[in-house]
Amino acid sequence: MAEQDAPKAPVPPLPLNPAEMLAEVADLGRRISAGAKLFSDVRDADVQIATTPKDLVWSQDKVSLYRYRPLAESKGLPPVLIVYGLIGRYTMADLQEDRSLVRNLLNLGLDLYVVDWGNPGRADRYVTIDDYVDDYLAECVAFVGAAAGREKINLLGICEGGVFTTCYAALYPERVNAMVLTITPIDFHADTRETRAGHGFINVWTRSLSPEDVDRLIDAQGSLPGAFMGSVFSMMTPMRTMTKYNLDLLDALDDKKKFLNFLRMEKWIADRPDHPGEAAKQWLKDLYQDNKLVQSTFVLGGRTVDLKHIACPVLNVFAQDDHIIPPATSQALKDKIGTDDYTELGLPGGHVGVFVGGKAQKLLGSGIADWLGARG
Amino acid sequence: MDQFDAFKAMGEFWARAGAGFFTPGATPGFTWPNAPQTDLAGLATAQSNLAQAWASATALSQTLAASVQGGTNAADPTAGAVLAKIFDPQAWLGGSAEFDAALTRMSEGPQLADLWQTERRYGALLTAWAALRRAQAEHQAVMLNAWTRAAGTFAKEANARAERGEGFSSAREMMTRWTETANAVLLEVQRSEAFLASQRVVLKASTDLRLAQQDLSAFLSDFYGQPTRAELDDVHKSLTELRREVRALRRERREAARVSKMNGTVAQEAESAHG
Repeated sequence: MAEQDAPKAPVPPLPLNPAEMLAEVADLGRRISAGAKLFSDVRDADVQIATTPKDLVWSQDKVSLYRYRPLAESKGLPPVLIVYGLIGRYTMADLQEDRSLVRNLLNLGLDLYVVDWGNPGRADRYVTIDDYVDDYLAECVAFVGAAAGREKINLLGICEGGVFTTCYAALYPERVNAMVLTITPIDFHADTRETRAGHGFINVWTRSLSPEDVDRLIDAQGSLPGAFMGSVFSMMTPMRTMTKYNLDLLDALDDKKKFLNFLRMEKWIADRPDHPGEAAKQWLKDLYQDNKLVQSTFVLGGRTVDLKHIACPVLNVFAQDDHIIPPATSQALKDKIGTDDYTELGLPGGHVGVFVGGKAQKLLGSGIADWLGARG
Repeated sequence: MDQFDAFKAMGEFWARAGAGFFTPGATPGFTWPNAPQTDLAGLATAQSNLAQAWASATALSQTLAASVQGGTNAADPTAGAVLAKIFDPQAWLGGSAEFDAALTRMSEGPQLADLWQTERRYGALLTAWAALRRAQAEHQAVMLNAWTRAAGTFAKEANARAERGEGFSSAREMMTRWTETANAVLLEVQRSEAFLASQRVVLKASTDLRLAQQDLSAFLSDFYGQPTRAELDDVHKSLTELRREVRALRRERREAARVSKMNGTVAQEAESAHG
């Protein structure tokens, strides 16, 4: 195949103008020089992320619960608990002041909490999704409910965190007033219904492994290392990965604001904790390979997670160009739950862009606040 | 020595060295206790195949870089260097190598140089190492074939443009087009059976190497009276289970207090109603 496509004879010269080429190279040198100065001028304080003020209100083992300080008059709605997953960190929801779902929601008068799973290490190898949902998340909900004097609160799940809130809402429907899911996989095999290039590679890749491969990987590592998952994510955008630190960075150097945004995003990407081993086995085998969540056969704490038991209103937000969680994998929730109060919100952008993209992140904040406001 | 010869020589060296090492009697006064069969010949074959793919890709890369800058007599060496870099298949390998490097970091632990009493485990370790290198070479060959395919597709398009007298308006436009072409090919390749299968073999091989290292490490830890990884895992498992019990007890206590408070309130209300 390769030989057929390869040129049989030397390729004739392309009509590139040498003078133009030289001018481009000179411009390149100028930008590299300006970029070097920018790099030397940047300080840690310029690229801080997750800066919205918050207070630690509860903690157990490595899990911490924070309450954000209000930025506007309260709307009097039930508090909202933000739940991120174990792959990546919640700081993505508060990347920078002008691109922050957290700030947008606080400015709209919501009472906001966030759970931080901490940095699981090898000692956390035996922590399971059962522990996260049945114990830690349940404790967080109990604390938030008690603090607000309410039996029910609102949940806002992000990606794997959305799976956790989905499981919680199915197991404890009496504690959830309303649930917002963002970029959350429900049907892990629904990627096969779409044929967009590059979309759903993690689904394909995970299915190419055997359950024994996963077991041995976790036995050997004790966790699903964050750096390993980072390399899998990089494979999903192969050429972008190759041009990121040269062409893309050069483009960013023309604009200080853009450059700082680039660095903040890098900071978030670099902060990728290891996924506890047993929980990773459940994530990869029970969900990605066996697709138990959408089939309502996933078992946590000895109880089956039956999606029909989700009785609260659900807002399901997906990113239209999400190559990590293809929209169909999220939208599969529609006919599976036990409520008719189900709303979908498809936003422009990709998996992360929906949170930090200029247009999408504003639509996301107001969309969530309006929807919750109608279900107070 | 060019890349092809370097790869070939390296493959032959390892095969010769390995064969000598494992041949009984090759090292006077030394015998392997149950020496494992290490597939160094397989490793050499994989490296040889990779070397051929590499030579083909390198030739095409040089042709492309030379042609787009107006032939080898182009005046600007900087532009030439930049273009050569852009079409360098090494960069493509770098993309998949990030995955490989992550696995390598995960599998390669500390160097334990003074562990001379553990020959059998060292043998298993070498076998696992050779298997990983072989798997990586085979996977890289898949990636190089993909690069050659992408470069061929791009060259065809570039030639067609040149024949039409259109060319690229700038080097940046050309780079963008190359990136798009290469991306499309890579995304397709990543879903192919060949890619997924060879990558799975790399993952398994890196896991096997890691486990072989842990086996050696456990043997030595035990020998020197240090806790082994398995013993630490046991402790962590117990700790996790104990924490679960503590959390459950706390919940029970809180629930009991809540019920008690509720009953107290009900009793108080009943008393008030009757009183």
